[in-house]
Amino acid sequence: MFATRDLTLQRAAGGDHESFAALIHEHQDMVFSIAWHFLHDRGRAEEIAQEVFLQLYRTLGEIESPAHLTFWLRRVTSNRCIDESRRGRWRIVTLDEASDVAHDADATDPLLKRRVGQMLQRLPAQQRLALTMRYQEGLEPSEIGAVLGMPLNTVKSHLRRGLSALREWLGATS
Amino acid sequence: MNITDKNIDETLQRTLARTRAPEGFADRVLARIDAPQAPQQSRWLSASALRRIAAVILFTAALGGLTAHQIAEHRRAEGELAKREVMTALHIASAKMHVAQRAVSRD
Repeated sequence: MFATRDLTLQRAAGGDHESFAALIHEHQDMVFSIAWHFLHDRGRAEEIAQEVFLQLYRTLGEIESPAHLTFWLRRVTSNRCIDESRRGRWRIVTLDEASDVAHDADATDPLLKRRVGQMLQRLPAQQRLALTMRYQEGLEPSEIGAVLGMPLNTVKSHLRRGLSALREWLGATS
Repeated sequence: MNITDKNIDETLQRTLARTRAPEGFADRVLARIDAPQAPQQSRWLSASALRRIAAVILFTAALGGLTAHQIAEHRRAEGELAKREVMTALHIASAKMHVAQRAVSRD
């Protein structure tokens, strides 16, 4: 039935906790990072990431392949981030606060990286998610559209507007 | 600072690079899976409680309405009785007046 299904996936779907733990270890950085880049709140990002894996545990039987699993995790995490922003449970980070939560300052240009991190928090949710999928996950616009459930032109528009806003803000503050 | 497209692309890749999940993340997820399921009935309980409250309110309203109706009926019956008694008293008084009037006329 699922000829291409990964053995670990198959075992996890069969109720093997060790295999499910292996799946979590394999994908936890991706799921957590999407939530973290969206929320910039480690506690809420972990909560969302945990909920995503709990949902995965309940629906493992529907996952057809490792590629499908990655796609599913990106999509569900994105949806939960959007839901979170609609509920207004996440905190808007001001520029001053953002400088405190900026992380992993890059040695080559820490100021620019920090400033971009701050600016990203000011972008609308859909633009931020599109940029996260593009630059964190390295997805093409068509793949982003599939994950976020958006038409290709909408994705391109979000990417263009997001980059344009970042360029404008950075140009204005440089 | 000169912001070029290449520059912003590279900076976004570095800024939005994957970060490590917190230490012990997988263990916490697995612990939640192993944890006994929270009762799923809290929502049903509250719905059931709401139904019970609504039933009590309806019953009280019906009982109150019935009682008010009975009180009104009782008052109406008492009024009818009093009216009948007054009429009877008037008839008696009228008859006696009639007898007295005859006696006065004969004299």
